[in-house]
Amino acid sequence: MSIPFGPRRTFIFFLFLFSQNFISQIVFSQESKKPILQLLLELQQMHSQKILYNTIWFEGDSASENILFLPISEALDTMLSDQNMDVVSFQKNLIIVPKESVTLSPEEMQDSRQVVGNPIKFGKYSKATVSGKVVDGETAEPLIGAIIYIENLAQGTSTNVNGEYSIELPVGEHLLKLSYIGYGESFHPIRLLSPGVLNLEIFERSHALESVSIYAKREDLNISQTQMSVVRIDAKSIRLLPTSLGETDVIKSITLMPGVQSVGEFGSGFNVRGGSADQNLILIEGVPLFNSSHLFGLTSLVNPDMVSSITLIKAGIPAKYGERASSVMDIRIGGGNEGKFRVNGGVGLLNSRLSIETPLPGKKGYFLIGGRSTYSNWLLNKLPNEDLMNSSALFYDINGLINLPLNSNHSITIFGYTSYDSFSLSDNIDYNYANNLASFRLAGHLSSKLLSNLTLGHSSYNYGMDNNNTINPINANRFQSGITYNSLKWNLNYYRIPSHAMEFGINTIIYGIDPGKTIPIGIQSTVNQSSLEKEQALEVALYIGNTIEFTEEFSADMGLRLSQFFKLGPGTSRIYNNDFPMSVVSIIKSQNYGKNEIMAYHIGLEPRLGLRYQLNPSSSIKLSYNRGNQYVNLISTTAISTPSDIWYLSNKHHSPTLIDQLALGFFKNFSNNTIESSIELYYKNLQNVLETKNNAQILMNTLLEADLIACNGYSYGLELYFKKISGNLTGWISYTFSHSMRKTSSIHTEEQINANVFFPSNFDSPHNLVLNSNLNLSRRWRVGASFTYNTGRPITLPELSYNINGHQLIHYSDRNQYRLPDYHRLDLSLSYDGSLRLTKKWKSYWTISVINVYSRKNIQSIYYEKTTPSPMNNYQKYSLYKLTIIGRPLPTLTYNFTF
Amino acid sequence: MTRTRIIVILVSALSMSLLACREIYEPTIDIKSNALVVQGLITDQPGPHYIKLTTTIPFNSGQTSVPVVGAQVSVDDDQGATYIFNEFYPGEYRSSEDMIGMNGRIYTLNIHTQDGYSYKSSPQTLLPSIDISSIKSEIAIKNEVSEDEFGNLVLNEIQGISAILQTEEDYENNPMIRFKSEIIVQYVYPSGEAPPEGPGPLWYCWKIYEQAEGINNINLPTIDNIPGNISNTIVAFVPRKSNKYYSLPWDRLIQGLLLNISVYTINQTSYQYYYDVIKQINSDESLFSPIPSQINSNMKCVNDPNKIVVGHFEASSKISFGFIVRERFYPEDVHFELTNKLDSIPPSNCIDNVKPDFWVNN
Repeated sequence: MSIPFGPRRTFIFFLFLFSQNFISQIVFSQESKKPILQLLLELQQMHSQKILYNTIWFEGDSASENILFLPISEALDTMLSDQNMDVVSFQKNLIIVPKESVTLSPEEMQDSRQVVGNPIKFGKYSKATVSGKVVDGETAEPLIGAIIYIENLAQGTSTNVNGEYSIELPVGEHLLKLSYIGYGESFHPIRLLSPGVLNLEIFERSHALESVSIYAKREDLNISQTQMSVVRIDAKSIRLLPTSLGETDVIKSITLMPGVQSVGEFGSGFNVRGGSADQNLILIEGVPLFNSSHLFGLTSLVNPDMVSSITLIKAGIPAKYGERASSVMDIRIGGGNEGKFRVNGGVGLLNSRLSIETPLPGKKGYFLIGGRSTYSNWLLNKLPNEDLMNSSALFYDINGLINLPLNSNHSITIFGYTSYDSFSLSDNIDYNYANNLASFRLAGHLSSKLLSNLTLGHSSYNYGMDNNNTINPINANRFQSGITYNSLKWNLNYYRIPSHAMEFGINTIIYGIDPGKTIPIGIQSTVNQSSLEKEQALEVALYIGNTIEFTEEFSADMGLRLSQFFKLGPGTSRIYNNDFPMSVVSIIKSQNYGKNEIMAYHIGLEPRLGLRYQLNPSSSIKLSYNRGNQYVNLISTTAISTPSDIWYLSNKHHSPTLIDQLALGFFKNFSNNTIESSIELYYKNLQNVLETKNNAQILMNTLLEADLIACNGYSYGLELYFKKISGNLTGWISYTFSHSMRKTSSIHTEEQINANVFFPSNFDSPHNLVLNSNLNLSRRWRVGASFTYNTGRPITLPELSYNINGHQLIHYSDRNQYRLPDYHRLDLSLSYDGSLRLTKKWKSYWTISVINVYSRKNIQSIYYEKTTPSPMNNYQKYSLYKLTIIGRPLPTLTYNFTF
Repeated sequence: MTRTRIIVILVSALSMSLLACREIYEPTIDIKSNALVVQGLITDQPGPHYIKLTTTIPFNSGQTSVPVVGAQVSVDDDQGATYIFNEFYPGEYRSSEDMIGMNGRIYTLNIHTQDGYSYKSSPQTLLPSIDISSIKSEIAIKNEVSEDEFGNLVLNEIQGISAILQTEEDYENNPMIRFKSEIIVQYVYPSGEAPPEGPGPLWYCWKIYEQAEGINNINLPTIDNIPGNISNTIVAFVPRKSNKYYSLPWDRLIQGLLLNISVYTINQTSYQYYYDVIKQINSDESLFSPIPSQINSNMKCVNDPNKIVVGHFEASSKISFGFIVRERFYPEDVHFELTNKLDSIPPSNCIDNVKPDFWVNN
């Protein structure tokens, strides 16, 4: 089946000339970078501060040069935030060490210094000899020529052929630096009381040191930043996320966070704080993704090897973001290893992936490309189940990015993505859909304090269903639908003074929607070809945001976004008699519009506010408010996103969805920021959320507006979150209590749901509990576990049946009156790292995982089938079925590699 | 371990896991009592008119519906008249023969059941009948899916004749209609064989098939027209003489086919009701189909607005046509011949050796 592309629109804008060559501070956007080694030298010179580090750790890495304008501690934190490193302060020097090596506070370090000698003899000596053996921590093999050095004394020694050493030092506290070629350095603080023995172990460089006790300052962004209700994952943390079908799934991992849920075992999209999936703006390199999953939720569309960072903002959304009401997920692709050629991949039972990253000639810029595909068809064909044998499932995705520095201040980034999914379940209906994304970004400095990002973007999503009715080929038909998105976004950052930054810009978006067409399949088909009228619209938004640090304790993010929406012709708009419900029979007249004529206009002012008060270095209180308008909605008659859903533009009959959200949070860290915790409360007020009328058919519906009802509603919740981020055992536990309710208010019975009484939305799940953990059993072995519990989602069930003229009809309950059984599931995974040597080119690890360890049969969906009345089914013509996707433990095995 | 063995192990492991499970779902339903089912129709034709009252049954319960007896049933019009319906059969109530619905009048059904509940319909306007100039016949093939003896779905092609509505009037807004047809199959028992009741040289029998009741029996909306055009609407399909289609033993001789078509001009409320019924019956049952929901009734419980009542009260104008289906195979010719003999045909039956008045030889 060919997937048609929608019409493309291009814009020509006036581009400013860049003539200046200054550096400026970074807040949100990508900017010019310098090698980290060079930045470290410059920082030492600027601040007259010695910084100790291993140059090998940072070869080929780069960071934004804007950090040079920050205080040194903040500069190092920003620069090292995705390097898995920490900074140690010791005797007026700053030492950069691997993050996992740091576990203790200064007080704890004091007590954890290794005592050498006999405390009884303390005071008898002014100098004492420290002696011992240095061995390989893994093999216990003595190491010849290992260096033991004391920086502040400029004194050191090396081990002999037996691995032994001896050195005389003044009695007191010292920091021993241990190093050996090909092995990681380590630091050992000691308290020398009298002559004594100190045996040391050293490990190969790629292994994170386990037992070094050094004070370090950890990230406390969750305390110090003003932004609340945010989840950030960087590239190095992605590998530690829970796996799904053998590979990391970045979007599914997000659903393990408080306030974020997915519908069903495998469901496309996710729900944030009671909102529907279409209320989340998922951006990849600044371009939205309309369907975020392969094969209806089997795995997400994003290749985890290509992702450099993911940020999900659930509240207090900055003014630069709009378009959707509930959340923003900003995904950035690759680019973390300039100057290095790298290949990553994985081979699994159901799908495989490969990505390649390489610097461009002259090491100016880089290029990366990656792809994934499934080959489950051959496997399905071998299964001893007729339904599965006649089914098929196929997907692939390819994405690439190229970054080209134009000069020292400006760079171009070009991104492209394409994916295709095809799926059938032996019911003669083939489902298929395709995503295509592209973006072009020009970033640069307009002045020393003004940073610019100009992005052209395109996204299209096309989907279809082929009904190959082999029994009755006269009904065989194909349905196609799609949406296109073209945008021009210009964002500017102005760093007026260090404590005051501004961000402003303009977003322009053109939407194109093809609501659907039906085409006959085969020469026997008598289906008439027909198509619905295409729709188009323009959305323009201006915004400005201020980030101000009033004092060290108190800061604010304030913003304002003005959005305007124009539904444009050509098209037909119907006028209904207001005294009757909207239906086929209450149409008064139809009005036709020409090309680009304004059919409907909406405008919205969206204030944004975030406040932070820091009580002390480890705790803060935050408050946020944001309002958002959403002009394009996904219409669905089911709770799970399906190919039969239709994108729908705001128009004369339906105003945009409007959400006001207020959130309050208390954030507290423990143990030198190794444990994070938070309590967040939120309340959302919703207006003009679209629900379907009873019996609505949304496919090929010429009067879809008459089958939609605008509801109001609210959501509220309490989120508790507790996370341990260092040590052998890491992970988090989260609990959310929430409600999400809706209500109609029409005077017409046909436009009422549940007689205008509040009813639970499809995403109302009062209790949600997630426990996720990773345990390093050893340097190579790692085990993970993930447990999820959700209250069953609301459903509408048949209650009564009756007979009219020989036909059995069903009377249903009030909408969402009942609930499915509660959902819960346990997943386990085991990973084995093949090699820990830094010098080894080919690195690999195996992952074996088991989903649904205790065979929980969580219900994915409920649906009806007509049956032949018989004693077996109580002579019913309808039977109600439940579908479970994974009813038993599902094992997967994946081999991952990088070189 | 050989590669084949590895694949077998992996496939087996996955096959045990990937079996997406489909099971009957029997949730616990919170329903306290059954509801009233109303089937009511009055037309602009002479009475009697009928109101049928039954009850619902819990979904998947296996129970059978029971008639609602002893209710007080009446219809009021907007001129102040009240028409009483008397129970003549358990759960079935009829008016007097001189009750005739009038075009433009508004009718309201009232029901008072023995358990003390009162029900009332929304006012229903009886719209004047559409003007039908003729009903055209056309040879057609209808495809029907059925199950064979092994439970497999098979496609059957049925040859027959379509009855197509013709109107000359050009309507600015398409009226809403409902249609119902009956096929009367006339057949005889050969001499020497008789139906169960006693011997006789020839038995004249007829069997009535009700067609298209409740399924696609309105002028459905189309892409371009809502509701659909009434002209050229197929209101009936008459399968050609075939013992197999009409479920007759092979040795019965079909002597003729008669067609009785009724076209009701309905109001918006009734149109919406029948459209909702069609959508529920015709739902395509695929994995991602929406769950069909409520068919709204135009009846409400007066003393308890939360009490469920289902069904429909219809007030409509009616036109009926009786046709003799004339067909010849060689040369092929088929047409409908209007007849007034079908005004009152008794239920399916046989008569010994006496040709009924409505009998037509084809």
